[in-house]
Amino acid sequence: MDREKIKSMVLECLREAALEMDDARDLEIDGQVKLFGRDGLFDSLGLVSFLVDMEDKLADELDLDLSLSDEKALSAHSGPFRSADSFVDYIMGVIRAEGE
Amino acid sequence: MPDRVILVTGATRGIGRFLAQTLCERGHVVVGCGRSETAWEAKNFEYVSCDVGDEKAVIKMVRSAAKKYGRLDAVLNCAGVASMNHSLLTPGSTMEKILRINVMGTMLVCREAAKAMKKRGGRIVNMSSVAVPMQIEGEAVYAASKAAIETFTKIFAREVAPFGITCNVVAPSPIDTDLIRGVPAEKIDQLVERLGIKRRGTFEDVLAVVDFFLDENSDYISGQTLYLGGVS
Repeated sequence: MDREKIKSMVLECLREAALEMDDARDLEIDGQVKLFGRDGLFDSLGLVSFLVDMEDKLADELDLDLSLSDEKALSAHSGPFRSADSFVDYIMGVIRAEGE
Repeated sequence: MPDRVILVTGATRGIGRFLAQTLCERGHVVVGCGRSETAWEAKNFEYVSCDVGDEKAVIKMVRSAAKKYGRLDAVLNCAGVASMNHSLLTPGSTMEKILRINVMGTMLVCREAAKAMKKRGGRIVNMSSVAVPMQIEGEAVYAASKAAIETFTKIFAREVAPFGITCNVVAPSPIDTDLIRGVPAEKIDQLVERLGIKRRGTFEDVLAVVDFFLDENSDYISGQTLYLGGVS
């Protein structure tokens, strides 16, 4: 799977989510944006919503039925939500694991 | 109630079949599932063979339905199995099956349905039984599985409330379905004598509660379990 394709989908999904936020975030959405935690883009509910949207996108556009809500990922301090890039890495890992 | 897209699990028999058929007759689009390969046919009805205890199958079924019809408005989780037996004589395989279909099945369908309903809101109705508050001997495992559904529903309802989704439970008293086919009539009569309203339940009794939970004006009602037959 092409990492750049996944990254472009993640950024697109993040931009859509940011548009729906009440305080109309004027953030630059790039690979460095922090998804969760202090100064993160999402609160816990927003993160849940984003993960569900991302799963939908992967299913619709790439026919990939993945679960992105792995317990380890959700609880890890240095986990996939520290930046969009690390989240892309996480998805690539899930895709690889599914293929094994 | 305008036409809706409604998923009914356990739609091949019993309460699920009755509810699915009634909703079809009212003009709603009903996607029904069951473990059989085929089921009854009707206008507005699509049957999907799906074991609700199979996670991948549930994901596929719910996603396909939501994609095909553009939305999912409501779910009736009617799929369920029962086994009336003394706890000391209940095999582990029976316990596993009851928990897998009743508990895991309900939770998986709720999870996937809520994902599909996230943008537009929706209604989910789960099934319990008066066996929970009546603590009926011989139904320990079955009642425990239904108690799990009630607790799951209370918490799940809170979790999905921000998305405009309600989730409630209807808990029927004994109704003449395949689920209690193996139970002696005398035993059922004894149970009925313990109800507040001393008669067997009917499919229409369940429908009345489902209608209430699905009603447009019931959007402030969630996380509730409604027992039939005057049981509380």
